[in-house]
Amino acid sequence: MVSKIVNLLFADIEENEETAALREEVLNNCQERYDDLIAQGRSEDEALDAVVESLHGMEEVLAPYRRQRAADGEEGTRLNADGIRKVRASLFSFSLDVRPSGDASLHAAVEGAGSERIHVEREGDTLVLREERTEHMTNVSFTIGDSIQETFASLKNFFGQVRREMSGGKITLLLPEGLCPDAELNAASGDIFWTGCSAEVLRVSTASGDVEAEEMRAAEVSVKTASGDVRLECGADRVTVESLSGDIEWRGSCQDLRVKTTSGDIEAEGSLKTAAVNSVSGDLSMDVENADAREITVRTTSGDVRIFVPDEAKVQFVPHTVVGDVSCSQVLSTDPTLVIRVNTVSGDIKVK
Amino acid sequence: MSLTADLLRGYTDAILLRLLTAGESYGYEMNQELARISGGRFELKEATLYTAFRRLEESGCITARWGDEKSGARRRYYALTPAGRERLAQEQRAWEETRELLDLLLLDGASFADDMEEDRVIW
Repeated sequence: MVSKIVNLLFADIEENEETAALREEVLNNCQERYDDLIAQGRSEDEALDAVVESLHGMEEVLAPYRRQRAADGEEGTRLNADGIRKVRASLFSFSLDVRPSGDASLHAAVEGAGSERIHVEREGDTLVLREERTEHMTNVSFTIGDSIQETFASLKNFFGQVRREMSGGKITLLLPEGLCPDAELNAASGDIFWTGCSAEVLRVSTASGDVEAEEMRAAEVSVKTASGDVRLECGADRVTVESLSGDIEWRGSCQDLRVKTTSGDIEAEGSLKTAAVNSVSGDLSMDVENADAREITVRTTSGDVRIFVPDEAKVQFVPHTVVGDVSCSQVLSTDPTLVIRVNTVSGDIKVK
Repeated sequence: MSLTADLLRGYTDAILLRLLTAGESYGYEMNQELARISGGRFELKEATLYTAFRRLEESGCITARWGDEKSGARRRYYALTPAGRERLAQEQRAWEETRELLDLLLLDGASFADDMEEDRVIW
């Protein structure tokens, strides 16, 4: 089991002298840790927990050695790209990484434990990526015991199993040049990355998975997440992001930016025509790069709001706050072309 | 808490060098030793351990060799070099200075010292 965990960690790592040595060293330390704990009478689950805990942060150490597995087509399935217009993904634990293939080909590569649960199919003009729920997942359950300790132990065991069964793999999808699909991607705990491919519409929703889209253009980008963080670097006519606790970052250009969050912080930077931001406790920091923006409307309860606009922007500033501080160092215009409305209860407002 | 963690992180290399003054050792054993010395309050994550080992190897402070375990994964033993010993001495001096300074700045060490003087007189 210990070697399984370590193997998983090194699954897509380039094998060379250095990483082989690192792997053996890590494996030895983990194995000894595990054996020691078992010898001290701890349960298998507790021992594995300690091993997993000790490996925290290892991903980052290994990141420089990560193999670009799908990029060279290795182990990837080449698919017929003719007539594909849409991409749909419904995933649980698997992450999805979408990138350009660099030519006219379409590839999908699946890696990590549980890759047999991934189905890549074609339905008419739609490429469908689907993750089957594991049997274990449906069998795994926890019970509310007679004591808190009992319930807690059961819950811990449950999470342990879920973690082992669901320690997500990754799907790499390489799109052909020139394909500008309509994409709808859903994941539970898996992350979604979309890099370097244009899309007609990109709609993403996750529960806890992070969402990143970079170097891309789309008519519409729309992201919904509960606790995942969202990072978008894109040009789009319309960008819509909703989150509960996830932080939101947007850079690029768009006509209309709409952001809604409960406690996530928002960072926006770029050129835009109109923006509407709603948050409860999340802070907003917005850097508007173009002087011809028209309307920025912000509503927060306790979040602080900071908006920077170019000096030459002709601004009308309409702040409203119950107990927050308001400061504005931008010279206001008598002939405004940009209206900034900010409503807060206790959040501070700053415009510059 | 995070300040403590930051401070400790800055001394990871020195802490490992200090452990190796007792002779060569390997990752897990060193971590066990850290847990023992600190009464279970301090242990290093594998990731921190390896980055520190690589750094120390590259700067010539330690050398590494494989153990000859017959079954399973081999241990990687590390040993202190003269350069490592020198570096440890420097770090220890730096810490003493830091500690003295922080005592003065944070705990008002000067007036502490005065109070203790007074106590001694009364006793």
